[in-house]
Amino acid sequence: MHNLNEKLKQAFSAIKENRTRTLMSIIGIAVGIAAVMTIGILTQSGKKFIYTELETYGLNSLWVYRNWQDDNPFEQQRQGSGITTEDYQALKKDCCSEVASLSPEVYTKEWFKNIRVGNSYVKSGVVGVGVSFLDINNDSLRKGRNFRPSEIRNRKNVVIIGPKVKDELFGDQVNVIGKVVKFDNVQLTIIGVLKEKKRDFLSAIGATDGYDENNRVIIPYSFYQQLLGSKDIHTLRAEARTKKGVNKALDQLTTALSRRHNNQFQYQTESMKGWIKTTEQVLQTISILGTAGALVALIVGGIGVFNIMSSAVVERTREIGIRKAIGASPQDIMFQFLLESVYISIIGGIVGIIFGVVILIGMILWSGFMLSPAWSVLFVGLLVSVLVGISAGYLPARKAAKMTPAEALRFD
Amino acid sequence: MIKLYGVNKFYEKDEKILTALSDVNLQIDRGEFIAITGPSGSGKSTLLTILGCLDTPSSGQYVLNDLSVENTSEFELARIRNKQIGFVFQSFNLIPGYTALRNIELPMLYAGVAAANREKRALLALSAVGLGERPYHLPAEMSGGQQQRVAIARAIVNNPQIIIADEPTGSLDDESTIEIMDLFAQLHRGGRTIIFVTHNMNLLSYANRVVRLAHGNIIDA
Repeated sequence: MHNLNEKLKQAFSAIKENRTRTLMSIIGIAVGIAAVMTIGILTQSGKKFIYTELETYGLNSLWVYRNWQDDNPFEQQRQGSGITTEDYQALKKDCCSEVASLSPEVYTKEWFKNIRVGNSYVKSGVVGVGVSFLDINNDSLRKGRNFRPSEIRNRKNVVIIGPKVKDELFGDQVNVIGKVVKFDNVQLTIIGVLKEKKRDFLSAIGATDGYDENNRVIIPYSFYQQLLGSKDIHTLRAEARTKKGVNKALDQLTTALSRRHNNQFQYQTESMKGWIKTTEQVLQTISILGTAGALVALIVGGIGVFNIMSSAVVERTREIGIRKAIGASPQDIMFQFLLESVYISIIGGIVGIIFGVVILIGMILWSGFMLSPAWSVLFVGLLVSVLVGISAGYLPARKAAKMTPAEALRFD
Repeated sequence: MIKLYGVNKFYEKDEKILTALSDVNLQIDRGEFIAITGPSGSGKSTLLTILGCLDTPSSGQYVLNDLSVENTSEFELARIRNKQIGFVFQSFNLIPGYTALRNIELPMLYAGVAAANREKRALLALSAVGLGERPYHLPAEMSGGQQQRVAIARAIVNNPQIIIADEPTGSLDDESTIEIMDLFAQLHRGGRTIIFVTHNMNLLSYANRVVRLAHGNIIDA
């Protein structure tokens, strides 16, 4: 094929002569490409956000707690959480090869409590934990330190507060370590402030159940048990040694607990693995629906291009005859019309990408999430528009290429 | 160089078969200036399209420079039209959106000539037909005579041996007719074979041989 530059010029001249129809097809393709791009960005960014935010729970995290929904009436009547301090201590010492670390979680049904300083207060979630909790939960400290084993052992009234609690109660004050907050008339000395955790995306898709990790107050589980007058542990939080070993670790923990309680309780488990699977399914659904919509728009755009090219072949039959008479081969004519069709589609693709970027900016402004377009999405957008152009232009181009010059020249 | 042996051309129209050419035998030698004439519907234009490889005979044989056209692929025919034959039509057949220069460049584009060379040669061809000063005019901005000159420049730009013209002066006034025919005469003197169809008896004197057609048959060659 000779002189691509000249052929592009020819394609451009032809397109200019059919402005309205060209514009309609460009819009059709642009909508399709914009949709393809939006879906790509949503699923890719969504995945990235979800993984980043799930990491804040610790990707190898697992939870074991009593199955309260158990339908065995005898088991239902049994009192207690099915996990005690003794269980925890025994399991910690020697239980499970796949468990790297273990922490109790003690809380009450009424999760939010008033935490007060002077006249100001904040409603925060209160949880009693062990020394390993911060590691398991992938928490880090902005200020201060973790609990000491002696503080856990001696049921010390010390507390690590979430960043939101700190802001609500102390405002701009920089150093709050050593200050005292009140909870149920008990004084707690602050030993640490947690770093902020971002879970905006998970909250936005309703995956956090209204639970805000930044609005937490963490105290030694032994101290909380003393306040509650109970030896119950409500959830065992653990970290598996490896991602692969998550299920085995859960198995080991529940088997050990069941054995210790002579199978009196049923246990329920959760792991990050399960959460990841669920969120991926949600993203996949979005992706399938979006792709179907994008496909419809692309087909509509493609039909528009097909229509334009079919009309162009009829309207320019004489021109095809002239070109053939002066030496254009069927391949030259085929290439010329395909090029025009791909040209329209690529313009549609570029406009679509611009639409996509506008939609992206709109979504960022509306949702507050910094969605990022991946280059692969742009590449796919352009590739799809070229494919639409070739498919839509093929039949008209073939018709043009097959005309005999004499027949085309006779056309009026 | 051009030999037609028992050439027939049929068209199908409304389920009827029309005979455009019937058992045409003709030989045209290199460097001849041939006028083809005859009443409307006598098959002049059909003969021209076959001679110019724009169409193939329904039966019979057409040999062009020792090549039997019936057995030639459409790709090869395109090359022959591009390199060996230059066409001039009654209605000029320039591409309306292209300037004179771009119209003249087209055959070179299909011949694979590089852009810079194309422009140079197109300007030379335009000068050769006396329009050197109007390279960037669109067809609509030129008179009929000027458009036909551009068409002639396009026909000669790849330096073909044969020029085929279908009523080249049919749309022109007397003055332009003479100018165009003089151009053909000049090309003929340069060694080219000229074959043109005309109704105008006054133009037959330009030719060194007249082929007369009636009802698809050659009645005088």
